[in-house]
Amino acid sequence: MSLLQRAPGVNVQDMDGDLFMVKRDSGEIWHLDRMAAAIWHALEEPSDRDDLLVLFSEAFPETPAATLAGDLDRALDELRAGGLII
Amino acid sequence: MTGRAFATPEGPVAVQGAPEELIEAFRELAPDWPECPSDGAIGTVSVTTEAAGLRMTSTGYDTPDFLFEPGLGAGNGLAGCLIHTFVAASRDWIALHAAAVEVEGELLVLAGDMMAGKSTLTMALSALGGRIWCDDRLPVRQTADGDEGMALGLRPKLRWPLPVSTPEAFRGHVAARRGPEEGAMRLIVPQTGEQAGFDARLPVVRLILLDRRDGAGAPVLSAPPLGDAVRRLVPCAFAPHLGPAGLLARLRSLVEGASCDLMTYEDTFDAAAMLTGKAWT
Repeated sequence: MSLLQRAPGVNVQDMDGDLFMVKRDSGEIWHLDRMAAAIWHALEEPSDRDDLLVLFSEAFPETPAATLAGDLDRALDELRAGGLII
Repeated sequence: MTGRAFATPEGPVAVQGAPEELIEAFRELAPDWPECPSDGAIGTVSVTTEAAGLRMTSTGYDTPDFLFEPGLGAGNGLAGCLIHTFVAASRDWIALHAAAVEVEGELLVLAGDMMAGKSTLTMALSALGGRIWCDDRLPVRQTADGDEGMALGLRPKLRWPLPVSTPEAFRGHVAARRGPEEGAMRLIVPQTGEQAGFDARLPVVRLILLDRRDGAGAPVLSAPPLGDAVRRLVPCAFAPHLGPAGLLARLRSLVEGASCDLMTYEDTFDAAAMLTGKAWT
């Protein structure tokens, strides 16, 4: 499985835990929801989707695995669509 | 065609190519915005007449042109171009897509999207004793003492017809202030003392983020997290001269410098009653 990593050219502003991403090329501003922000933090080092799922399953053991996987995939799709991860 | 200039806090903004009908429509909306010599103009709004309408561009900022049908809408568009041009001339200024009303000496800034009902809320607050600052666009200047909102004396607009649920007292209030109308847009002509004049300023002490939803019930105020407040303000702000990082920093400062609430509500008139502590009679 391919490694996911933060896209280059993205500046981050942290406002009391809320993350805003500014793409330097387009000037677009993105606000990350909690799951997307957690993924961004987790991708300080490149990782793959399954490793992220394990990480989040350990962090949120009370959340059903299927729910967590769905939330993770949705957030990854949004981050990819925004060009914030590659 | 006319070549004119209008006074702004940063210097004159020239207007070129505007047909006289456009200036007349602008004057219906902005009767007190002073004209001035164009010497030392900080920017120029150019108007070209096309088959599809009036195209407006400004030398002050690099955003897509705007195309307006002739009439009050175009007059409103010219006001927007003048505001944006002087705002973009200084890092001290931003413009908020927001209403503002002075209630008991404090400026309430009400920010929200087109569906939030800013104009109706503005007039409802006015009918309950508030003083109108603006119903749509508020220039905000950063000073050493904090942010201040600037009034331009623009006449408020209401979408017509009013909702069925409109209180009779409100209907009577706006009927007594009926101004020019065009399609679904009706201008309101406030009476003496009901509206702040051009270049009046007040500190932004209270910022209310409007979240109007069907089924929301009675209006509720809550304190949003900083990030949520800034997220909601980003689409309401005009500040191309600051860049995205500068805009975020500026909005953070605005939120942190004011008492900021999120107001969730369904009915605009209930919201106005709650904000003023007065009832519709």
